Amino acid sequence: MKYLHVEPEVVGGAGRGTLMDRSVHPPNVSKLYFEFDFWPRDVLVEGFPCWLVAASAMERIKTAELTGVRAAAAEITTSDLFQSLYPNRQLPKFLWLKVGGTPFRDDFGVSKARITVPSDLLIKTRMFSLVVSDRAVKLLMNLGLAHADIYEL
Amino acid sequence: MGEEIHLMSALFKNPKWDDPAATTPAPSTAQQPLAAQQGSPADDAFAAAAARTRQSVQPAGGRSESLMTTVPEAITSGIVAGIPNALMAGPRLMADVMEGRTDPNSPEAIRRAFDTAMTVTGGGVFGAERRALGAAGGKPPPRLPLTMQTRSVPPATFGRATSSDYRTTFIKAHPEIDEDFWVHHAVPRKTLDLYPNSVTPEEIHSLENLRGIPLENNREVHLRRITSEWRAFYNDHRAASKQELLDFASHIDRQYGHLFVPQR
Repeated sequence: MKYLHVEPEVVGGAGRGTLMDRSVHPPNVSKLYFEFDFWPRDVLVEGFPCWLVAASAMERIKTAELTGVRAAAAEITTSDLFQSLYPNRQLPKFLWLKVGGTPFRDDFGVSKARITVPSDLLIKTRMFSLVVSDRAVKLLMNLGLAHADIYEL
Repeated sequence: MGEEIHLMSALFKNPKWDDPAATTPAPSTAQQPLAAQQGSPADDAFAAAAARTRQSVQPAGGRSESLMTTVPEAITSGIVAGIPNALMAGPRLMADVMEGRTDPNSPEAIRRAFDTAMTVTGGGVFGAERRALGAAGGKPPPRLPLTMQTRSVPPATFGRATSSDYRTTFIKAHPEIDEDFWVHHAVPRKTLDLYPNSVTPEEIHSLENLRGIPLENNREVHLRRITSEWRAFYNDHRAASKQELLDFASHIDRQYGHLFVPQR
């Protein structure tokens, strides 16, 4: 099976009330309040140090029996910026995507290796990146993943 | 949708596509964006957009005539089509054209459109293309680097805020700004949570750390880009000193500061 490095769109971040242990890196989050600043309609999005998945997409992931992830509840809010950008946009239900699989074996995993990607961002190296099987990427792309950056490993 | 892709393709310049060697298939797909590979409708959409761009953009070495002549057409078509990001090609030029002060086919209009389009490549223009390709059902190509990376900008600094009402702080300091804008923290507020020993709220909310970002045009795109830049920084830095944070904010200013109000 092929695996890909996936960088979902960063749409916001952990908000006030989030409980995280910063003594480890990336911080270990035990309770997540996530505040959206944007939402370009992708079903998988990111806000350091967490990933979120649309509940409908999570159902498809379960149905497809993809491995390495589970979903947990998170408190989802939208920022003033979000409300300014999209006065009439309703967010679908999002869940906290907890990735616990073994990279390159499960469909979802987090790689601890430092890799360099041909990104145009200032920092080209990545650690703790999301490694996703091609079948999982295809499923997510069919559901909406147009704004993620995806690279072969 | 195809027209939108064409319009946006005409407005940016990808060095890889400018390289004649890049028109031949690469020997390996390793480390290439997924969209650069074959095999899906999205790939086809990307390939078609790339092919059109190759036709419009001549090899490096100057401004190609074919690109120059496509720009005004792209701008005027963008207005008619109501494509918001076509406005990235120059709001003032748009106004001039729409109000009859400028002939969209004049050399001056072409030059202004070209300069503006080159300035914002990777921002609104390319963002629109990404969305257009994404809406077509696939993965757009990766974002391109903005152009003005070598500009000299004042280094980012902190002051000391006396209020956490940073919006009022910024508005009072810049009463001359007569457009809608978003007040953005150069070193993000999130750093207070992630690097609490390196920064203080008084520094984060200080005027020196505030930037205005216009709400019109590419508001979403370059705000998103800046957010992505900082995501990469957070991932890369378990700890960060105050100077490291300021240095990275300076990098961001160099990359995107020409889009701020006032400009950096």
